[in-house]
Formats: sequence, C-alpha cells, structure tokens
Amino acid sequence: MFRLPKTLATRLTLLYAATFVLLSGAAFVVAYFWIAANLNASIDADLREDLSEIETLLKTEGLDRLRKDILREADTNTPGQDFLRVLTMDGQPVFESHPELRAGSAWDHQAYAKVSSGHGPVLRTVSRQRDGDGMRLILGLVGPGLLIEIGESLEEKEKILELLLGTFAAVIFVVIVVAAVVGWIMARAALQGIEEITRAAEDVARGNFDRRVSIGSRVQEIDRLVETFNIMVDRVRALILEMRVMTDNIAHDLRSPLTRLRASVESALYGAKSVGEYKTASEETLEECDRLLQMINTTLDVTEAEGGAASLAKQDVDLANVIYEAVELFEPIAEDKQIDISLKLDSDCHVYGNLQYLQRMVANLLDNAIKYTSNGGAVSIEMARSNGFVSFSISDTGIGISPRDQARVFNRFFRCDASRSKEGFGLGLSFVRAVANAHNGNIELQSAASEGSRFIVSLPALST
Amino acid sequence: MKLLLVEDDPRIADFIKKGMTEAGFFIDHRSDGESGLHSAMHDDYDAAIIDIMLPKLDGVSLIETLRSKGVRLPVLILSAKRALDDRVNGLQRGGDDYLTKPFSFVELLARVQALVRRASNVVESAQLTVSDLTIDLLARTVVRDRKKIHLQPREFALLEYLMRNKGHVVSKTMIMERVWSYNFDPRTNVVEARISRLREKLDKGFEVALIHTVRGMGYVLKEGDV
Repeated sequence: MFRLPKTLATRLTLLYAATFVLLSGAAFVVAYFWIAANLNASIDADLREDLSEIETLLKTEGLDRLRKDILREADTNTPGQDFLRVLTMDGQPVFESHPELRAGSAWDHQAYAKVSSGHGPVLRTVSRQRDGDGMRLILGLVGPGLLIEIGESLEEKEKILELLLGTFAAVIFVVIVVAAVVGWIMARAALQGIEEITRAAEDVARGNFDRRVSIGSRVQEIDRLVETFNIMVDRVRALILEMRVMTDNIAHDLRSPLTRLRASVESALYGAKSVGEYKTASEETLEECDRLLQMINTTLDVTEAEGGAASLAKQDVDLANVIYEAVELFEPIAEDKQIDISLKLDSDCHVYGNLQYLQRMVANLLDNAIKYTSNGGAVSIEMARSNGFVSFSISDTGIGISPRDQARVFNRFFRCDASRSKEGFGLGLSFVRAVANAHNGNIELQSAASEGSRFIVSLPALST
Repeated sequence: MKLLLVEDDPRIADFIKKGMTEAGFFIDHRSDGESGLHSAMHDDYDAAIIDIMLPKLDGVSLIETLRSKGVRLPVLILSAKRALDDRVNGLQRGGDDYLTKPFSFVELLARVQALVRRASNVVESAQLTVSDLTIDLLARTVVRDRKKIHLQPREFALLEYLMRNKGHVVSKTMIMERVWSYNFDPRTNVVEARISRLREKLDKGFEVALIHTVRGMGYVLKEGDV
C-alpha cells in the first residue's frame, strides 16, 4: 500500500503539486469541452447554410446544372473535404460528389422517416473507419421528391482538439515541476529553524542547560517557538539551580539540629550522673526532634501548596474575616512588644480559595511583620477591592530587606542575615508565595532598609 | 475505659499499648482492617484509634462502614498522610479527630481523653464550674468568687474549652484547632501569650491558681497543683 512520506517538507511538496495539477486539470477539462461544443456548433451552422444554398441553387438553376457544378467543384477540391449527394425519395442516389466518402454513412431510416414527414433537416454524426476521423451529415428535403445529404469532415475539429491536448500535456508537466519546486521552497522556509531547535533540544536533553537558539529573522511562528523554547530552558535551568541551592540549604539546616541532638545524647550517655540529667537530655532530644519534624512538615506543606493548585478544596472565603482573626490571634504578642496594629479593610472582600491555606498565609505575613519590627513600632494592614482583585498589604516599621535579598526572600530556605538569629526555617514566605500562586494571585514586596517592608498580596475577587 | 487500636506497625502499636495501659485504659489491638472492623462492630469500646494505611481494609473505609452500620464509636484517625485534603477527607467520612505520625504520646492521650469525654458529656449544661469559677454558656458571663470577670469573645472560648476538659491536659495544637480553627501551628507562641492574658484576668489576686502550664504537654484547668 502507498504510504505518505513522514517528513513535512516532502508532504507539503506533494500536496502543492497535487493541488496545482488538480486545479489546472479541472480548468483544462472545462476549456476542452467548451471548445469542442463551439466547434460542433459552427460545423452545424455551416451545414445548414450549405443546405439552404444548394436548395436555392436547385430552384434557380435546376438539377442538371447543379450536378455539373457540384461534380466540377468536387474534382477541383481536395478529396476528403466535403461530401454531397442527391437522392430520390426512396433513397436511390441521383448523383454524389465523393462516393469514396460514403463508406460508413449507411442509409439512415430514422433520419429519412423524419425528413420525409416534413420534420426539417436532420443532423447526425458518423465515424469513418479509414483514419478515425468522423463526419457530420445533414439530410434535408429539397424541391419535389429530392433529398440532399451534405457531409463535413470532422478532421479539422479533431486536429484542433488534439493540439489542445498536446499543449495541455506540456503545460501540466511544467506545472508539476514548478509546483514541486515552489512547494519545496515554501516548506523549507516554513520549517527553517525547526532543525536548529531540535538540535538544541537534544543538547538540553543531554544536560547542557546553557544551550539557547539564536533568534534570527525567521518566520514569526518559528521565532515565537524559538523564544518559548529559550524561556523554557531558562526556567528549567533556574529550577535546577534553585533545587541545588535548596538541597544545600536543607542539608545545612538539618546538620545543626542533628549536631545538637547528637551532642545532647552523647553527653547524657557519657556524662550524665543523675536521673535529672538524663531527663534534661531527653527533653532536649525531644525538642530537637520536634524541630526537625516541623521543618520537614513545613517543607512538605510548601511543596503541597506549590503543586496542588488544582486539587485544593476551595470555598467562598471572607478575606477580611481571615485577617481579623489573625490579628486577634497575634494581638497579645504585638501588645507585648508595644506594636500597634492598625486595620483598614473594605467590606466584601471575598475570594474563592482554601480557608486553611489563606489563614496560614495571613498568619505567616503577620508573624513576620511583628517579628521583625522592634518594640514600639507599628504594623498596618490595608485591604481593598479593585479591578476584580482583592489586594491586601501588610506593612511594618521593621528592619527592612536589602535590595539584594528582596529577590531571594521567597526562595525556600532563604534566610537573610537578620533572620538567622530568629526562629524559623526560611519557609514562611515561600509558603505565602505558593499559596498566592495556587489562587492565581501574586505577591509583591516593597522594602527599604531600616524603614520597613510592605508585602502586597493580590488574589482574584469572588464576583458577587 | 476500653480502647480499640487498629494499627499494623508493631512498634507503634506496642508504644501506644504501653502508654495507654499506664494511663489506665484497657486496650485491644488489631493489626488489620478486617479484624478491626469485626471487633468494632461486636465489642463495646469507649473510643478507637485507627491507622489509615492498613492491610485488607483501609482505615477510612473501615470508619465509613462503621458509620453506615450506625456505630457511633468515637474514632481518632492516625495517619502518616499529612496533606490537608487527607485530613478533611478522613473527618468528612466519619472520623472524629485526626493526628499525623509521628506524634507525641502526650498529644495522642490528650486527644483520646477529649474524645471519650465529648462522647459521654451528652447532656449539655448551661453552666460549667470549677472551684469558685463559674461560666454561663448562654449569658456568656464569667464569675469567680462572686466577682464578675470581663473576657473577650476568644478568651471566653478558650476558657470554655479548658473548662470542658477540666482536670485534663490539652495541647497547644488542640487549642489552636478548637478555639481558632487553625490546623497549623504558627510557631510564634500565640497560645502561650493568650493563656498568660487569661491567667492575668482569672488568677491574679486569687490565692489558688486555676490555669496551669504542663511543660512539654500543654495546659490544664484545675484546682490545686498539677
């Protein structure tokens, strides 16, 4: 069975050629039949004219004169052109111009019957065996008891049509060649760059994440593909780097509690002298274990929030209420540090989201704001709804974040120098960003060192 | 008090059995879902601790079957799965509480005790009293030694939770879950800060302290020392 080749260039070339051939073939068929019909019509018109001429001649000159004229004319004419015979009503020839042409034009009873009943001239086509050319005949009633049959050879018509066919064959050959060449060129143009992208992708697959495809002056679609490809490789590279840094950080963050764990167990094992000392060592061990567990759990939470946007159980959440509750929860701690928390909330700030995640997002941000603001400072929360988004900002008058660190605070396990001394794993803001993203929102940070930070979270509002 | 434990990990099961027996419970242990279901249907227990990943029949299906047969046994789900949806799923399909592995035994004990108490306190009383402290759940008033004490709504809820579990330790995470409906620990010690506020209003100026901190475990409301 015939199978289409697999490469796109070949397919396009074939498709092009086939389309061109089909279209020009159709055009030719129409032209051919139109020309043939016109030729037939003009032959018929000639025959009718000849018939009426002969009729006039017969009436004015008489039969004998006509016979002489016709036979003389037939002698001078090239044979095989026109044929004429005069017949009696019962079909007996009176005379004929070219008897040799009569072969095949047998007496037609039907035509005769029609003509003799006063039907008018009857036209018919007969094929002559000799060289394949046909003949068109007209049979008419003239004068008293006389029939005239005139024939015109179809040789000329057939020659014209043959010439037409020959021309078409030549044309179609040229069309096929041109279509194939044009198709090939167009396919190559359309696919320019694909090959290069394939090679680059193979390179990336082998682990070379620095490979890019240069953006040249190719067709727009391919350039877009190249651009997207480059962005994708950038993203993959960034993710891999982030993962490396993260693994380093995890290892580092695991090492400190494990070292402490080991130390307390070891000192209990070799140094404890009383039950009380053993007990203290056990308590320390338990606390370190809990810390480790919490770190692992928080890491898993961030992963879950980042991965599970689609599978989150979502509901109508009143964000203002979530903020009120979080503020209420943190109030005693803020009071202990004489930090004033001010609220400016719009009503009707509903979002479609996961309550637990949103609670935790707000709590994380508020916790940070209070943690990094020194005694007597202020934290302010504002929330407003605009353009289909609910945005809230949590600002503090804390130590601020240096521009260098601002780009990294959302990375997992990132802790700036100021936060190293405080409790935490460097996961709080990663979680916040993951939650914002999981709700099709985003988070923004504005900060100036020693002036404070402002985190702005925007989430799509629930239309009411 | 009789407990049913359905857990396939022998080390965890031994750990729970030992602790619960010391705490004064009788405990039956089954190591697969089918025999666990059979026992839960045919014996009388005060509460059950059921693992999710079990051979033969998983824990959530076990609970679902129990509930469909009308067994109202209080169930605590024990699971290594800690994703939010697993928790919600477990509670929606008939579990009464959810604890993830690894857990502290103190936390498990406190939760099981709370489950048993909740199941037995069917008759709702409008007033709760411990020593000279009385709270009225309808009027939402607090009186200690004939002195009216004003509390914020959340402080009232916290006190109510402690009163309902009087004499028993409740953990910080239990408080976060029941009083704030937060299923996570915001690390910064918000509960501690809130308790100290409550303590200031409730115990300051009285000879006997009612709210006690149990180190490494949680809080308890009772007359006298821990």
